[in-house]
Amino acid sequence: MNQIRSLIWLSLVAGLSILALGFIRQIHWALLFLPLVLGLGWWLGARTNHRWLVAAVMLVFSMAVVGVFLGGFSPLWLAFSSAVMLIAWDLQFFAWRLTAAGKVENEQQLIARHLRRLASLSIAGLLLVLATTFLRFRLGFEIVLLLGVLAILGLRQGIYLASQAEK
Amino acid sequence: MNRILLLGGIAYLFILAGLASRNGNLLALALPFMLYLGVSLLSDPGPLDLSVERSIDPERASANTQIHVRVSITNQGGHLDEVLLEDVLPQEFELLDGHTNLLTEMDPDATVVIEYRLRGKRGIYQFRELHVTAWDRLGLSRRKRVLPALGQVFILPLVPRLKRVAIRPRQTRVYSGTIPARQGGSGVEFYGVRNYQSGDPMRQINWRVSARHYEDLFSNEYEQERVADVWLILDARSRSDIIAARGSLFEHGVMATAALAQALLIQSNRLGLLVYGGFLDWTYPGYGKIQYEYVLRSLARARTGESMVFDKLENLPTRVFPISSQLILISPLQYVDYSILVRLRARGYQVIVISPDPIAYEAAGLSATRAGQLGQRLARVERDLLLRQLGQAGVQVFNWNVDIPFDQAMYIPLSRLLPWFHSLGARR
Repeated sequence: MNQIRSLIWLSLVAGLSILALGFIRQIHWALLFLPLVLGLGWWLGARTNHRWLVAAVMLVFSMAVVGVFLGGFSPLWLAFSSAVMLIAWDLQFFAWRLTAAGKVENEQQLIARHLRRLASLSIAGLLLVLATTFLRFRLGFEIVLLLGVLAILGLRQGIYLASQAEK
Repeated sequence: MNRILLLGGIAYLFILAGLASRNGNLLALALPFMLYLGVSLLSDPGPLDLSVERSIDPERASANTQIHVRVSITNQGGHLDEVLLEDVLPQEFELLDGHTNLLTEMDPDATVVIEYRLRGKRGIYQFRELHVTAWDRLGLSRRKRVLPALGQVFILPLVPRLKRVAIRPRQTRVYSGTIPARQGGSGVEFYGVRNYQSGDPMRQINWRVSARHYEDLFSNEYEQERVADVWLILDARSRSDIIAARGSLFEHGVMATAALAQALLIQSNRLGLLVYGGFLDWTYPGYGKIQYEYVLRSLARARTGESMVFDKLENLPTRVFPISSQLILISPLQYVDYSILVRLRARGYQVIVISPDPIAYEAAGLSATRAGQLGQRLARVERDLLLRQLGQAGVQVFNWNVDIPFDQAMYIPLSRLLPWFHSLGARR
């Protein structure tokens, strides 16, 4: 369990530090408090089991990433930052599931398997982002629009299916 | 917030921002989130197909007994990466060891077991269901199911063992037992002398009496011993109960009732029970071990209650009690109960009142202030007066300070029949 907690805080510090670096590079000194507030919000949410607070931190973080990206910060760093925040978010919920259970059967095995999956998924995600930065091809606006609409519809359908499964 | 919605929302944010700014790199930032979402959706656990078997040992226990519960769950569906099995316990139980929920992985046809020990208060408890929650590989989407896992536990009251309860109702039943029947015949106790009848054994001839009469022989007669109809009435009115820091006085009443039922049924009497409180809970008269079990079950579920109708003992349904039978009321007593008890006595019922002392019970938890002591003395005088009046009316009253165990407190008073009781009044 301590291992997971350490990983959560490591990922969180890494993710928020990159965001802070983005603000520093763009000389947005006034916004430097944001990563600090986000970290504090996360800590509070984790401590009081307020899941909505952690979710809110993730949402605000993503908005900040968009802002920093539009300001001209490196997309690779931001992709890495998003990936580690995703790891922290996943592990936070995993830790909550573990603590909610009175007894966990084969706990170490369960944790190790989850970490393996999460690591491979994050690496795959980063590789995909990396691939998109090197692969360059020209598409017409109509095709881009069509792909965007398709992506949104696909995502919507995926969310719908997942929420149906949960019900 | 729903985790899927949040993740979808973040992915939407990057896509929309990318489209709006016509920047492919911003679109690419959505990829880790979309990948995470996609993998999660593809590894959905599917419909949950599990079977549950519950065993409880023992299913019938006394209040201090540890109960071992074992819930065995078998996965009859596909592989489950993360599944939380939660057994729902009635609130009154105290978990001694083990866990009621388990997070595990389940292969097809695999069986996992949840085991725990618990202890509970008097009552009848139902175990109804097991909650199952299964997550996908990343714990994003989940499926829930409530599986029936039935079980029942009777936690019976503690039963102190009484050696004997001496009662003497006016009317007995035809079967032989241990209650003096006020009739001559075969028995143990001397009853009287009658003229010799042919067939009387020689050893029954009373030679002293016969010697005083010319040409007449007299035989000794013994008092027949038979079984009797006994009704136990447990006062479960909320107004009669005292709830102190050390518990409820009603629990002592329940314990006393159980002890009396056991002793009277061992003596082969026909026994019925009425729990008089928020409603009337009848256990119809019967004999033996099965009746004892019925009585214990009734006592296990007995709770105090309030009712406008049964607020006073006035509405005791006396017609149900056989004429001249023995009634034993277990009650802390209210002053208003005096009239009904006297009326019962006047109708020919033999009435015994076992009265757990509410004043001593409540006083034990109070600080010894001058005003408190005065109040206690006044309450004591009032109660003594009530008990004395009942005794004078021919009701046998036993005041029981519950600090002394029931079997010890009632060992001598209840095991000896006092022939001079009616002229003496109440014993306390």
